[in-house]
Amino acid sequence: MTVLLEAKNLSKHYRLSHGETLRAVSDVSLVVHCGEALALVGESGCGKSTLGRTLIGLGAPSSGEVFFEGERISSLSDRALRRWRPRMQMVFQDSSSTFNPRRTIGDTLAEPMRIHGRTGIADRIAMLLEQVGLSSSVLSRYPHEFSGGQRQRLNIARALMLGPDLLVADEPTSALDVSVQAQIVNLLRDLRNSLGVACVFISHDLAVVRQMADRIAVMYLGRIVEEGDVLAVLEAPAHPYTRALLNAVPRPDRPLPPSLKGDVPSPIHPPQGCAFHTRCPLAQPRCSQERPELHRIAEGRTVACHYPLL
Amino acid sequence: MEGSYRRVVRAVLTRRDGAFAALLLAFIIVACLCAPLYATLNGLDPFSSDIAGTTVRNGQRVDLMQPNDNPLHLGLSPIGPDWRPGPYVLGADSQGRDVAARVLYGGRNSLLIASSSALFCLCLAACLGICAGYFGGWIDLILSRILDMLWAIPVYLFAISLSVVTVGHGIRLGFITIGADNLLIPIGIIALVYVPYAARPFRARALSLSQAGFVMAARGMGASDFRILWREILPGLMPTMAVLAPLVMALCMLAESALSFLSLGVQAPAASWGTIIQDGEGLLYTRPAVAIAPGVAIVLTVLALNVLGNALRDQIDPKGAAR
Repeated sequence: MTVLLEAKNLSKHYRLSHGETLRAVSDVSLVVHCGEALALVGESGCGKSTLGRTLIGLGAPSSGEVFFEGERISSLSDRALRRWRPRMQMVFQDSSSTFNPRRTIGDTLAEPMRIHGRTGIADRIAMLLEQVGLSSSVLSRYPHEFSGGQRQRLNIARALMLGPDLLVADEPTSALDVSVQAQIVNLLRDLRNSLGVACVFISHDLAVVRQMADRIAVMYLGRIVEEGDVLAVLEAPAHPYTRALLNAVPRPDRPLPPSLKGDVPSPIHPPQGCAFHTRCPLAQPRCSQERPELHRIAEGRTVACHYPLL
Repeated sequence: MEGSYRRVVRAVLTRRDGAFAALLLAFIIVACLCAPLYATLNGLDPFSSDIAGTTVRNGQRVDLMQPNDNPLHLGLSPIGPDWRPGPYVLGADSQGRDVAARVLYGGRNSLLIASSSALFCLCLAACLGICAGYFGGWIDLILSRILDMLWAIPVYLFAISLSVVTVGHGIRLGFITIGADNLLIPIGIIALVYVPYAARPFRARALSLSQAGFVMAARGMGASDFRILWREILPGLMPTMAVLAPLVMALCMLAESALSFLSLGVQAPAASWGTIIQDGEGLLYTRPAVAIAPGVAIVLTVLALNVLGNALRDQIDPKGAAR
């Protein structure tokens, strides 16, 4: 499989007004292959959305590099990056704010094509509306006239207008009802199969991830702690944090295991050593002093833990 | 959102205060536009002195300038108001000109200057506010500090200083020459002094819009900054524009009157409400109507504009109504 997108030692830090630094993403390296679906999972605030945005050039990284088809896009100017935008599109989480309330749906859907001077806009819109399961009567309407699920379909249609090779979907289902979630997940999966578009799927819902993704990267406090094939990781997690995430999913066949103690530490003052050691049930003295690097434990399987479960 | 402007206009007009203000304003504007009608029907020339002229009162021909009935004043006084339709309904001024005609003609200048300086001011303020709010960073820092500094100078002092410099000899910029009596000078000055006041809400709105999801989405699609400003941010500023327009116009009208009263705005022989008040100043004890008539016109217009602006704000931005 050819590499589509590669991030090397990517960090995104925010300088806060009182001189402190919020480390949203620290030293992340990952690869997305052509046509592959990579899931980024983790708790709220672990930096997965920031990582998703930084990957496609919405906000320059503080350090590190992003390569798209071998071209270093992280150092391009805004103007130069615009040429690459059609190749990578984003589906945003909150579909209610990602549409300009003053523009019709038809206008909004046509916008990406107009920006890049494409022709055949009407045909393209008609085709995509059909693919996301909406009729062309939506075009003259305004965003507030739609339900959350319909808006998310339109959101997806807009992201696909330019025929991207990479789609970053930032929690596309988290703002929706459960029944509608399933529709959107099925829609995304069908579109991925028919279009062969690679996908970075950001989620905290492991059930959705299992359906959607080929590979999974688990994030904790701005770092990737475990990465691998989605079924392998979810069947036999190697990192204690991944296991804790899986344990938090209620299952009918077992009582809920004890959950993690404490809260996620602040990304302004991340703990020394392994970021997870303050909450890890298996923590050893070494964990609070030395930060574990991501290392390979099996074919296509990496984990950042001194004492992995495998 | 479609038809939302029509809905707001209807809502404003069905409120008692909004309807009152709109009617009053419409009446004033129509009356001022009809100034030539009053002047020609009564055969008056409101711009040239007519000290030796006569008019008809109670079927008798009388002089416009009459011997003074007040022992404290020497010489002649202009004829007073007679409150009946016809020429000299509000009396004459010290030059024997019809006060009512001058108030109507002066109103055209006052309204013209107030509305065009409000328009200039809002456009300039919107540009600066958008740049500061959208680009942020050092652009915001510099623009905001400059506007703060300008706003720290008392508005009227600033306007008077600018007028004193320009009114005497006009403005010469290369081959562009603006004469001293050109209305563009007071329009430009009044627009300029209220830019810091109007830019602030635009900046705040642009700042919040620039963080909206659809702006991020547009950037992700590859839209240029200009395109984002023009197609995503600017339409969102229209409510701010609509709310500010009457309020800024009221401020501009007051500033215009003040400058014209000080002979720093509209220059003779043209008239505006401010210059007529100045004409009436010397006659305040004998013929107060000369100063009071334009004063009442200013008060009513500013009142109507403010009430209209508040009604618009309540309809467009209900949360701001609590402030």
